[in-house]
Amino acid sequence: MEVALLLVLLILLLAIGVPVAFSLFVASVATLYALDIPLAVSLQRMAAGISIFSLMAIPFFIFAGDLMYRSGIAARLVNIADASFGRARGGLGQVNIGASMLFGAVSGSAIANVSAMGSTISPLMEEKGYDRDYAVNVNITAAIVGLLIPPSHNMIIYAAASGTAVSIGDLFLAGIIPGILTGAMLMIVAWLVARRRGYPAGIFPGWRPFIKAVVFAIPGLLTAIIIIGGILSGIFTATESSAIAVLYTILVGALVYRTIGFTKFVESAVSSVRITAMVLLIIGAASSFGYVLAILDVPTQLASGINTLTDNPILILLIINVILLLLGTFMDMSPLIVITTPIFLPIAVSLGVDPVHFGIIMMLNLGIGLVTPPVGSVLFVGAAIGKISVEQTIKTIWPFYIALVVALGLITYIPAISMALPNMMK
Amino acid sequence: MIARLTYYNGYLAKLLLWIGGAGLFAMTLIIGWQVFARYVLNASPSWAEQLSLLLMIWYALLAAAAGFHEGFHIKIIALQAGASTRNARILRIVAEIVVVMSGAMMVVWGLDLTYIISSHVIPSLGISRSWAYAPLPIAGALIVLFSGTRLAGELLYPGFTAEDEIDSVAMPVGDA
Repeated sequence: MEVALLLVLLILLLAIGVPVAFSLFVASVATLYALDIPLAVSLQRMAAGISIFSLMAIPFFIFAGDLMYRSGIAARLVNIADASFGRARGGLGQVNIGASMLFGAVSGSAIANVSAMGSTISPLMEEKGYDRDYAVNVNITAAIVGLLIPPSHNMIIYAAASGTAVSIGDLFLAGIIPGILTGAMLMIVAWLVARRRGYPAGIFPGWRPFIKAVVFAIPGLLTAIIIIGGILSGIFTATESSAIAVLYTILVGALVYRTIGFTKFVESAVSSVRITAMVLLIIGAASSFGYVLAILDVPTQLASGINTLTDNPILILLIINVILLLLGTFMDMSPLIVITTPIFLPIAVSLGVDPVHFGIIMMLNLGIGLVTPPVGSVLFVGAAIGKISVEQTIKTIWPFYIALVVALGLITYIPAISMALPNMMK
Repeated sequence: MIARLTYYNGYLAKLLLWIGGAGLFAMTLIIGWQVFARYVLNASPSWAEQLSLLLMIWYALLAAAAGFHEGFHIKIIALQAGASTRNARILRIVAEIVVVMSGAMMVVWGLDLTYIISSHVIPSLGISRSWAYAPLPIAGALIVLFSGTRLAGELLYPGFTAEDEIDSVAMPVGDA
């Protein structure tokens, strides 16, 4: 009964346009009222939900990524990708995907990725006669890859929500091969579509611009190495490595690239604070919501419900994936991580799935939700930047959806794709 | 009156975000100092992480409040966008009322929590744990101010909080 109240109220509040954070909060408060539990508990859970040390890495990763973006690295990453993949049929599509993967190593934000690549490559693609829907399809689906390639602040949220000791370093390592695999799948599809539509192949720009771009981009790409290397070697904690990454990007942006002055720095800090505030408010409200779910015993009931349905691990993982995909179509990534991790992770672990592996499944799965209607922030931003409507975008996007879903299937059922690197490092 | 209040709210929201930016940078320096102290001075400061976390809670909540003036919090506007002008206005008003109420709840229970916890001390900092809860009622009050102004504006002048569709689509600088 109270479960129905909680969920119906949540959907109602979301539908009328209450911000996601307060939809979660108010639905929890109303349910606590029905359960006759002191209402201040909801706010207490919200405060507790954001008072977590490991979450401090979130603003740092966002800040470092934003500074890198403003330093003008995106164009150089495009140059590198151009020299590497540009000669293929529909070369600019390949370039977009390759550059998005490189950008994913600098920033973990799919929105930053879609904006950076969209504003850099879309005009080029239009000039060369690519259709806008193709440009946006490639751009938004490639941005999802950045969620898998470390650093990724959503992995921090997952590690915090898992409640167990999931190592952030392991998660970062585990994301690398799935990220490359997903990027490769998208490249194949982009090539097939380009061939059918008869897009031109690019011309190799020569080694000089390539080397120039690499030399320019190396200091930026080193950020990822500092973060991952710092965590893995045990020199830094995840939080420390992300703070060092910020200090490093400030130095690189101000002294090496000379593109970050005081004004840009302040802009970047303020814009990172906006995103941080939004994410943390949602995480806090989602912990309040998750607490009410736990009181109502939803995780246990859902687990036993799934178990009575089937005990086949392949089917159970399929069911979990389908539920997450459905939720992802209309909810954003971070609240879903906070709410669904405590529900599904225990089920997955009982099937013998490693929590690190499950985290990677979740990143890609919920990432797909960001590019699917009715609600997908990356889809919306990508379409706005590509100057076409969301409807036009999704009319021709299905081959790319198939690539993402196939990648999700491979990553779900072949644990080695995720676990090989972290296991090797042990 | 409402127009002037909105104008001042804009400045207040900017100020909150600047404070947030300064807080973020301060937090970076504190954690940077922690690393420096550990490896160079061979003494890890015990206060650094706790202070940095406290700072984050403060600026994140204050900036989150500013978000209700700027409208950067993620929400689903599909239904509003599809509704008639009149129905869309009703939806906006109801949604804004829910936000004002949420802000008020943050004030009331936030004060409760801040008071209840006041005798607890944050060990590594030696200050009352109330410091960690105080930003809740403050942010709540700011949310009541910001959203209350929007609500009053919409009630007095229909269409006051209507969003330009392109704008609202490009705005959610998402968390993804």
